[in-house]
Amino acid sequence: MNNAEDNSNAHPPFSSVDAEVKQALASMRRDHFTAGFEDRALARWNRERALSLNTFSVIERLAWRLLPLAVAASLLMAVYSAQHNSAPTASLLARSLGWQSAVWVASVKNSHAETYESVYSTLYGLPLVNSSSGVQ
Amino acid sequence: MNVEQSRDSPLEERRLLQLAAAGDARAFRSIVQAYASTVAGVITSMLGPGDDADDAGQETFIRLMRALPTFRGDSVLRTFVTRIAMNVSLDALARRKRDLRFVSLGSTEDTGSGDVHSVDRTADEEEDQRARAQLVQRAVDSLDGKHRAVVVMRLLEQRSTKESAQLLGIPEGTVMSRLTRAMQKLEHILRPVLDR
Repeated sequence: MNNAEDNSNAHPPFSSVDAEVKQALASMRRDHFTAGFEDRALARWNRERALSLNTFSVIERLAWRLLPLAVAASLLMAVYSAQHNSAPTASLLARSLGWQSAVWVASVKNSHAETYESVYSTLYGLPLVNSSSGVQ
Repeated sequence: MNVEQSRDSPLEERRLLQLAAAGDARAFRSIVQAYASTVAGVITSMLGPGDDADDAGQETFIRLMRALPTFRGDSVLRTFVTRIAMNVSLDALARRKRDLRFVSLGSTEDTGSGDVHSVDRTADEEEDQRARAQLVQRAVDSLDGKHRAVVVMRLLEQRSTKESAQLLGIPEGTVMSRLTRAMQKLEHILRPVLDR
């Protein structure tokens, strides 16, 4: 066997049983399927399409049904956040979205805290500890 | 538009495929008519004729419709279809092998090549021919899918190594090594019996 055979469909024998193997394969080979193949294939394709279309439409219907619920839930959570957010300086939008951390940083900045101790004291309401003289 | 027209123009063929994929029954039938022979040739060479082949043929056309978006049109559609048919055949062979293994758990029947040597010679020439054909058939059946695919492509379909590699999605070197291995195995099984 060599690469020269690639240039044509003729090939040197692969083994001494080539002819027998080829004959055996050729005896199995058919150029057509049994009668009615087209109809069976088409019916199967229609079934598969119907199934996939059904699945898609079920998901679509479900999504449309859930959409109002999702919107209502989001609004409720926004109203709840806006009412229960204790940061007074934050905007209504920030409070609705629950931007807690931004609010806290702002309040720490406003407290003119300069050291880690004073930041913790402001955040958690702890007594300010002075490393040299103890609790103030 | 019919298949004969569409064969002359890749664009028309593509349009026909799109119509078929969208559910147009006439377009689907045209596609099936155009490629049934190619698909049947590959599948029956791999699986033999019968219900399995019919089922695999249908599966091939369904996969073709599904794979339409991935068909870039830079290869000939016949090559694309042949490749799908070969993949479906390999899947069917793998399934068959699994089922056979399951069945053979409770059976002593050897379905492989082990008993090919035990086929008796008969005096009657016709019967002898039939027995030899059956023997070769069983030896070919004993090849696993990937080796059988290469033998079918190179020996029966007379495809070049390069074409076979493209159709099977493997390197050319692999085609040659698989072919060598498959033919060595067949020769090892068949030669002593055929020489008797």
